[in-house]
Amino acid sequence: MRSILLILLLIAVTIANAQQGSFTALKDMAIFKQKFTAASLQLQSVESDFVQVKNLSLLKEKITSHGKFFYKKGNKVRIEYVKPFSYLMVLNNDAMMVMDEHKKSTFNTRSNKIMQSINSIMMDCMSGNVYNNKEFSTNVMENTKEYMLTLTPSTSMMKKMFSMIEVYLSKTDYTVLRLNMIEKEGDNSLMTFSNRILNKAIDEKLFSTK
Amino acid sequence: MKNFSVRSSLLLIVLFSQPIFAKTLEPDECLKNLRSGIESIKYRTSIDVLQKHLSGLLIFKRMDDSSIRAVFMNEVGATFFDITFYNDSYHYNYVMKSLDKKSVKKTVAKDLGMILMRGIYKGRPSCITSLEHSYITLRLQSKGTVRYTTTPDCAPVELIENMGRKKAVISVRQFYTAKVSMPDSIFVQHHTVHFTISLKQFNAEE
Repeated sequence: MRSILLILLLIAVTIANAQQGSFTALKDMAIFKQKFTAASLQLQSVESDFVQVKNLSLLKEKITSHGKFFYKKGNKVRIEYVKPFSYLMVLNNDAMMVMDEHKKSTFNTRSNKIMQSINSIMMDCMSGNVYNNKEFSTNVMENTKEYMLTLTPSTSMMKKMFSMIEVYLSKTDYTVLRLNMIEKEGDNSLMTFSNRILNKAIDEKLFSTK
Repeated sequence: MKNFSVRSSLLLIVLFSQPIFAKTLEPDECLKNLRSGIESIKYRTSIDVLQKHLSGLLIFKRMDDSSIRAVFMNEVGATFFDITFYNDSYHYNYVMKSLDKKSVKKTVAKDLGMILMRGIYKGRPSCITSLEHSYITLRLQSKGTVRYTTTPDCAPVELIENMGRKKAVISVRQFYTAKVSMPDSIFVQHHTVHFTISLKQFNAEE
């Protein structure tokens, strides 16, 4: 009986190690950067569904929301939550608009450092400029299908908000598959993108912040 | 005999038509019952303060040590604040930098403390009752009192008021869809400044 348990334990440990070790250090950073930048230059737009799971570790609670994501070249992002609540966030260069069930609010992200940083992370991930973001140091790992970019905050403001941000990229088209924002207290928000349509014409009206 | 009947009738009319003040309930027990009804729950929330509007989810969670944790986060997942309410005190575990001001923190904690009936009070409650209502009054650790309007049999609270010298400076109205322990919706109205909080019970499966 003991030997069976030991074998099962060894199998479990082996599987766990295999999963943890599925991402390994990148072999050639220069080639990755080159390909990521080239793919980003080709990328005109992204339209996709997303599921966001906010995990509150201490409360042992998970909040799951669903929505639509749009990106268009020229620093334009629209994140539209549709379930279980309605909430819209549009970033268009320095302008930002948020709308909940009660009110629409507009901001200039330049007047708010936190908003500016979030705007910058979103746009940098899409535009292939993530290495130049001075608020983070970036490390890249890979497995057979994905790259994992680990962004570690380097400024005090970002350190207060995040312990780390993980960006998972597809190896085929270099677009974002998942975004995991890990907060200082251990909570995290994981956004998983699906049904991605690349380079489809997207109506400019969707990015209106007025 | 006729006089006696008239007097008796009058006495009965007076007794049943006027609130009987000064009849003391068991306020400690009622408060304990009301507090124990506060369970883990999520509310869709919007806060309007001066020119600012915040929206998101407010989670109340009863912890193993009986404290209540209140976490308010926006729809995107960023946490605005995280407070633990104990019976006689509260503690901010986290507050977003833009809200990290003494007056804001104190006001938010007071409003939520009024709803959760803990963390902001000192001393024992007092109570007066009429035929229809019971008014349980608690003294704030800062200044002033808070009055909970319930019934003599200690039904869930529909009105909470932070009393000023002459009238309420904050009113909290709670609405119930059924006889459940937590309200379906809650409206907090400050009468001296433009500050309102609206909570609507939120079901993640909706």
